[in-house]
Amino acid sequence: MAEKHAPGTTAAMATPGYDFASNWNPVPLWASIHIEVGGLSVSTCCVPQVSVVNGNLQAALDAAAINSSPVGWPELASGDSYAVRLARDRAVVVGGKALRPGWHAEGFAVSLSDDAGVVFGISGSGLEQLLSLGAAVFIDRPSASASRLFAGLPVILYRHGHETAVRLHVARPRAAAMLEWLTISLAQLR
Amino acid sequence: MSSRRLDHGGEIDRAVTLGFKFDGQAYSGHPGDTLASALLAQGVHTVARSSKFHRPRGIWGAWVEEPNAIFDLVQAGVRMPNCKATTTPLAAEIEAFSVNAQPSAAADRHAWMDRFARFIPAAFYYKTFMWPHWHWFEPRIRDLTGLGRADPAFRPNAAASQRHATCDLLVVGAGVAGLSCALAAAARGQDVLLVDDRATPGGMLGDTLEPVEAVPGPQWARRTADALIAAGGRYLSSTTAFGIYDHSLVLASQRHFNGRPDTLWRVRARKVVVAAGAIERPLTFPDNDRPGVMSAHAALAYLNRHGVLAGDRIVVATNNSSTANVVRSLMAAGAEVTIVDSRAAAETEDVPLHRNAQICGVDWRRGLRRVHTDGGKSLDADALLVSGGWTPSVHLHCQAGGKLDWRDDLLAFVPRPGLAHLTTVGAAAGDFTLDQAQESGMRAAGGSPGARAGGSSRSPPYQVEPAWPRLGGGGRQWVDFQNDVTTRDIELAARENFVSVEHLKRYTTLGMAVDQGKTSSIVGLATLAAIRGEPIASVGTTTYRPPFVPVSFASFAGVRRGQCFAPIKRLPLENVHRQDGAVFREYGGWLRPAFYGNGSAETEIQREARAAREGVALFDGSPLGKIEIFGPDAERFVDFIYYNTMATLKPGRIRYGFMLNEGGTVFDDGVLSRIDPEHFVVSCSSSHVDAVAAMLDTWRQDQFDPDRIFIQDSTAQWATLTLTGPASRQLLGAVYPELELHDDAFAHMSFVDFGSVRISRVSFTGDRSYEIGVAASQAQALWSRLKGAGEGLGVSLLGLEALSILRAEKGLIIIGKDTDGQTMPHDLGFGTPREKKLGEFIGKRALFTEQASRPDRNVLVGLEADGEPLAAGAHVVTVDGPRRASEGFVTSSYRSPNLGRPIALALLRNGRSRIGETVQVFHLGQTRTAKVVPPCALDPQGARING
Repeated sequence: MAEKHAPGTTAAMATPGYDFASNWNPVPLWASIHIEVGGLSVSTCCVPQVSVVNGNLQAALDAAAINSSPVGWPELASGDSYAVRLARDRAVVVGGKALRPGWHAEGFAVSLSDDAGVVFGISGSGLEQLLSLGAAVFIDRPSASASRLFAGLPVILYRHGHETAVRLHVARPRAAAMLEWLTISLAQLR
Repeated sequence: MSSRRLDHGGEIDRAVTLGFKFDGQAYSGHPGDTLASALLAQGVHTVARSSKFHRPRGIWGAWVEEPNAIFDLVQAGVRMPNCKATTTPLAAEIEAFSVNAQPSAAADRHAWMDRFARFIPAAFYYKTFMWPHWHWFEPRIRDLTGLGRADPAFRPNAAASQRHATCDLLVVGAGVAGLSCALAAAARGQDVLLVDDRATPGGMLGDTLEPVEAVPGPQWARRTADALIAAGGRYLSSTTAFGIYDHSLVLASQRHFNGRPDTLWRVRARKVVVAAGAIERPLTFPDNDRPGVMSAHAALAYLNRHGVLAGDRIVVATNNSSTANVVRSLMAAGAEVTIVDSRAAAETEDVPLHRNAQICGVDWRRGLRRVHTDGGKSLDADALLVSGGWTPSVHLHCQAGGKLDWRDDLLAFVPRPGLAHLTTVGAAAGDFTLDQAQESGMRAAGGSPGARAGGSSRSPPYQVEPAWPRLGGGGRQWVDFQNDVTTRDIELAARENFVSVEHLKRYTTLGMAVDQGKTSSIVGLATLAAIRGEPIASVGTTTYRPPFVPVSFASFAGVRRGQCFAPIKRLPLENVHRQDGAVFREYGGWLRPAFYGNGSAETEIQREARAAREGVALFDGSPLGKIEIFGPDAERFVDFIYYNTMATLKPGRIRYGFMLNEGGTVFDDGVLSRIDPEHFVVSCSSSHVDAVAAMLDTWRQDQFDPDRIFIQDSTAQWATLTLTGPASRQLLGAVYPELELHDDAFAHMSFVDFGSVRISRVSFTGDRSYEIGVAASQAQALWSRLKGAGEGLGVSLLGLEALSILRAEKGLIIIGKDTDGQTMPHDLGFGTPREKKLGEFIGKRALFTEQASRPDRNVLVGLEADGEPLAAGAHVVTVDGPRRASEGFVTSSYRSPNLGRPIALALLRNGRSRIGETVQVFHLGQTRTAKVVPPCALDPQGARING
């Protein structure tokens, strides 16, 4: 399996035995991510109970004992139990009373999503500048949906806890790419 | 031309000297210089060669309009092409190289080409190099021309930053109009962003030093910019708004000049005010491209910004009133000035003036010697400064969809008002005097022009008279310096009936490339108008395309390079596979194990495929789609989505099926599981998940009641680990002893749910197989348990390559590999639903067209050949003498370790009736024979599925 060409080149990648893993850093241990640059920090959050509900959102929130309305942008979610609106009839429910996956007669469907993504918590001064590198995300440009394209990747983005903190949900298969982007972008803010 | 540095004036620091090189020669300048001003200060006039004729070219302008002085720069070991000397600040140790010149602009070995100019008119290349083929000539021609050379080894030292911004008002240009507008808007409480391409505010005020509100222009500009910031506005210097796109998205490039890559700004503003100024255009006369012929305004800029005097004996040729300030300033600096003014009523004081006269030629030999007027006068001169009037910079207005109006009093196109979100002000709108510019800026901000503090002395009105090119005269008159286009070229184009302005552009290259007609467009249009005998307004303009100035590719790429360029999807078990010795490749956007082990690819893949048939193999199938469909109408929905009947599927059961597109061709295949009456899971191809999810939602919203069907892609939530092979049941039982695994209890195409685990009996190998679905975070533990429990059973790890062999042995297809854009389900042997399914489904109608019913369609077959495997992609051909005609092609081809021979699948015309026939297979000049066989080469009775 000796490589005859420089790693990463087109010629090398065309050889049958070329290992494409050399083009990509190994996937990190998500629980241990913490980057701090200046006053801005990025960490992975442990969010133990995440579901996606489709259909009658109010009925779903009632069933989950979530008392607040689903947040969009730039509304503020707080605590361990809240909902985030993705579409007219779709929301992410974090915490609350555990819902049985599947269809519910009240008119909503529940899909487990605890393992579907990695949740980054980003907070501190310079947050707005960091967000401005990834997408047209501005406090004065509200959106009923927290689902958006950020850094070229589909994400869920909302403010959580306080006004200089956001949570960023990224699908697990794309989380390594998001971490790479965050690392480079934080360096640009130095 | 004997330009020189004065010992006073300009915004340069004479106490500091910066050394640099141009074409290998050492020069020096000062902080505050541009490369252009530093070269002019040292009397360097030939700085480039023209693109086609290799004529010597000098510096014409002083800013972005410069068509000639475009350099390759090397700084700190980094080579950057396409840098304008007029906009590049001088830095120590910078090395500049002219373009289109070998070895240097001063002594170009291809200068002889100009002597053959009459033989290489416009479109010469198109007409001459047609036979035998353009590509025979292309390398040499490209070697002779171009605007710089990219360095193949260049790698940006860092990712360029890309930033998004929003504001109430974006003002483009910090001249008097832009500054007035921005400050007035900020004072009214608007969120204002002002961008300007220069390092300091003021625009042309820095060139002319004209006072505003009784304050010297540059000082007024700095004060106004400070006031803007104090009022809450933002100001980005060295930032060019180079294009406007859909929904008024403005892109701007911010230069840093410190080694840091340029920043790309994406600005979304509620309103855009363009105050981009105007560009002075040249006069046309024979040899008007010679070094030493320069824009009059540029000479003023070099004098006032850099303390450089363009010459000692200067002729100013003009057709308008804007040169009065130029003449006064040059004379004050000590130059001897003569005016040649085409206007009969031109007036001046204390300056030699030739009224109603135009330049008709120059004497040039390694420098300008004399100029000749059409009145028969010859004037000694070392610099000829010309002004043919001013052209508003309407690029952004036109890119935003704005129209233009011709104004005879200005001899220019100006923006037609009426765009909803964009207003053009100042010189860009034809308001050429300071008073007009300031007033229009304030009006655009909703302010009152009368609100100016202090007031200005009224500027004299702008007057201009036509001095368009004279057709049919002797000598070559250049219209477009950058693209080497003369009036003769335009005349030739018109003679050959390229009389549309867009055709003219393409035939002659007039206004193309980075110039985008900055100096040439109006003169070119005027020439064409004269040829057509029509007013300029009726000729129209070409399209103004972004970017307005060159923008580096690194800037457009931003962080999208390396691992951020088209990032791949990652498996939850990727690191486990790395530890297990996997060799990865990219499959459908995922990084997946191709095979495991340290041997050669061929050896390991064959070993894995053999081991899977003999015992049990463990495979990571996590990317397989897991799209959930819920709701009261879910059953009706899946029956419509699938080609196969799905309404009869019972809970706990699984069925294989196709999804078609509306044209009846196969979109995807896979299995559907029914969890309960209102809940299905679509397991689609790994690489098609996003597309299938989007397709499902489209049909949900367009064809059904979206309140009774819901779709959720849960692929990322679940890992799928597959056991396959005769010993798979034994291994599964070892890990889940509580499961009843007898075939009566757990039949093929059924599943069991227990806890957070779903085990499905489906097979892509033809052998007994089980797919175990667990939450992604549990995958590593399960993988370890399966490996550990399988040690005694000789469990082997299975990569994608061996899996492909196993499924091909069974004649099972991969969508996109064994199908093409025309393959219908009955081509793959699945004709029953087409004949019997009563309900509606996607693509049904298309399955009964004449085309769909042709007997000679390409259908899936197997091919058997001796020796090496056939090449995938090879064509089955019929041979008629020297001609070959394709009858289909090989879609998959492998060496089967379990059959001990090559196997192949193919799409073959009328293939099903040709089983047993020997066909010819052609690939890369080689023709082989193969036998047409059924697709399934192994276990056609299907005994192994329960084996």
